[in-house]
Amino acid sequence: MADDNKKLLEEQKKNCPFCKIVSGETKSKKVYEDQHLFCVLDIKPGNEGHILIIPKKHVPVSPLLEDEVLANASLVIKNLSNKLLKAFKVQGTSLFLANGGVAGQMMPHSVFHLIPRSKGDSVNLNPVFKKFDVSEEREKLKKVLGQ
Amino acid sequence: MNKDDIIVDDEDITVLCPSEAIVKGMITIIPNKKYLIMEEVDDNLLIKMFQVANKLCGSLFEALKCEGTNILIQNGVSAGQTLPSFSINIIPRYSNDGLDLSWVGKNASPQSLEENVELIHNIDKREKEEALELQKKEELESLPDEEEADDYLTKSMKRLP
Repeated sequence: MADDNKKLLEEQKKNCPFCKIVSGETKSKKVYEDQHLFCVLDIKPGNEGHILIIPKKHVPVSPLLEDEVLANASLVIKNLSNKLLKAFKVQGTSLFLANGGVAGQMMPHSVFHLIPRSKGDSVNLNPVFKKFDVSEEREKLKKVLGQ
Repeated sequence: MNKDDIIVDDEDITVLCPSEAIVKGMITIIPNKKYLIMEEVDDNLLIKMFQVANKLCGSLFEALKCEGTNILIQNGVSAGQTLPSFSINIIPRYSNDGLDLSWVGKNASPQSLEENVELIHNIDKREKEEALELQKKEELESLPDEEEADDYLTKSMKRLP
């Protein structure tokens, strides 16, 4: 990573609300912790039981997370989702991650949201599917993926 | 699933750019072996799907020059799952795409947060205890009634010559 970017990242970390949760500077309701992840209840949940899965390493977007962290996160998310289904007696869970402000990212620290879902609740993560002509997009993606 | 939708696949997963999507250019990853929900997915397969999904966020930036990405898992019908299989969606985002993926956060009281931490921590233990209670109750209910037993004995004695 270029030196300028490293300096920017360090500045970001100093003021990052999620880094303060991970360090304990900000109190939180922890549901799980391991070497890579710090998982807490969201204090302003979309639904009761809404969990934030916070990578301890400060990265602004998820493509900068190492594979090892993703591996860990996937199994922790699976386990916590199972607990949420049982604990809150719901029929589904949503997992949401935003990279970039246009995608809904509020803080410059990559975070997964795991939200218990009930039919007709007010969480707007059930978008409508539409038909598109994606022949051009498919070709571009195949090219990037070397297909 | 339309074969034309496939952009890459291997022995474990298929990566699609489906024509029916949330946003043009959305990618969906599905396991080749069908699992209905995330909780059923084999651990190693789930790890692979997450790692590939994350890499594809970068691929979307490169291929479609989008301005952001979302990873969205709709796990279960009430979460909006429409496919008969667990899947991971990677959504390219643009400033004028008109897509709203959000929620209004409600303030949670310290007491409710504390109660929910306990609930989540103890749910597995509580489930086992409830199962044990139910088992004991069923065993008790299957035992013959005392009065019936006496009546049976009395009846048996009456049959003696």
